[in-house]
Amino acid sequence: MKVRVLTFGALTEILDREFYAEAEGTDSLLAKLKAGYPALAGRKLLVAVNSAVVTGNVLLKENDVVALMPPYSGG
Amino acid sequence: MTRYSRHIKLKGFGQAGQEKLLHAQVLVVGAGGLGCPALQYLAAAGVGRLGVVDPDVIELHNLQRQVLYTTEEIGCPKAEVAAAKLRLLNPEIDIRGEVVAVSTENVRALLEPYDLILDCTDNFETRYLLSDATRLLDKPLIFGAVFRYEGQVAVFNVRDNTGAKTTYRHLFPLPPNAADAPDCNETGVLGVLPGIIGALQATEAIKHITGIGEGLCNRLLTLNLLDHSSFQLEIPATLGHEIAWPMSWEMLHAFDYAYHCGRKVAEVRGIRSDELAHYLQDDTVLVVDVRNPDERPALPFRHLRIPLPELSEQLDKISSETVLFVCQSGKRSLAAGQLLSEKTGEKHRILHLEGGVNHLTIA
Repeated sequence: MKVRVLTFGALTEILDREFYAEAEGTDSLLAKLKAGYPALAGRKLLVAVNSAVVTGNVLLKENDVVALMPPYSGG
Repeated sequence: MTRYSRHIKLKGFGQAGQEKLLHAQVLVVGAGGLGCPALQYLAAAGVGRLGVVDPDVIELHNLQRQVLYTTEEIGCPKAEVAAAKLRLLNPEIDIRGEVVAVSTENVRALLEPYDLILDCTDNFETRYLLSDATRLLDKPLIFGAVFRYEGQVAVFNVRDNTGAKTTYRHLFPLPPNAADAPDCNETGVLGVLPGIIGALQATEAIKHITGIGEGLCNRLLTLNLLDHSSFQLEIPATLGHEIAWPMSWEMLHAFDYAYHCGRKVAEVRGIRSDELAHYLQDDTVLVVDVRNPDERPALPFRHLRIPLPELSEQLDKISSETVLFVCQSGKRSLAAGQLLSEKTGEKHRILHLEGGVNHLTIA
């Protein structure tokens, strides 16, 4: 499935802010990104599919939008 | 009611909305970049009881964004200065400032007198502690956070129309490593950003109290100031997380948030004035006077003078393993110890003189 990926915060230093990727589910998408970008290893980030936060592996459909967001702590 | 006439005239708000604000009790945790604007708007709006908690003193590098403070006030405790300024802004409300760090011991007592809490902090330890404590107390928590040019706001612990409510742990069940989530000190932040996000937190507080509009309940709003893009995430309450939050106050008290958030820090131990002589005999102990250069009396023993506002820039001067901080009343010396502990972790053994020079007999 071709999905659109959006990244936020410090993740934009590692990945583009917006790009397209091929993946069957969120787990395989993350595995693929971590393999290509070792700086992602061990990072805590939330995954949202079509603007809703998800946990575990979620199967992706063509044109889904996946958001990857790290926590922000500044105040 | 002339003070609030523009609220009272406002359609959908009116006298009823203003009355609700005047009866509201709001605590703002953190009087920094987010806290300053949030406090100003909440005080101006007439929140009946407004609390502000912050352990820090004003530093020069704060003034780029923390708009309640002036250059003259560098070195003064933020919570005290903020409370004094807010009383000038609105003498008709009850304003309470506390110069204290929120901890597992005091969090319940600090939060209980209030019915809504704003998370305007700058670190994960306090964010997770506030999230867990407000969940146990079942009090609304208005979250705000910033990173460089991006900011976030969310409303936690408020039920939506399906009865669902969420917490910060629904977004991030566990804290990141400190290295993965650098703070403003490390990454910088556009000064106006916390101004906008703090004002949005005040907006959400006012909306919640008066019942107007649609709050960010179970939603996370992220704004990017560089292109004005905004992104809203829904936070389902039914996430399949195994969330390891404290289920009771006993568990919360026993929870080590510093460790949980990947930071081990040295404890700042207070010593009494009658114990001082013992430490002065030991020449491996470095005494640091953190008062301003013009403060008297001068210490009649070997010491280094680093005024508290300059401490973070002069940490390299502190080379000994044991450091003993001294100030006039014991307040700034404690803050200095906490600052050193935050910056250097467990590198030093840190002491501070309780009661300060005021409790010493110096001829």
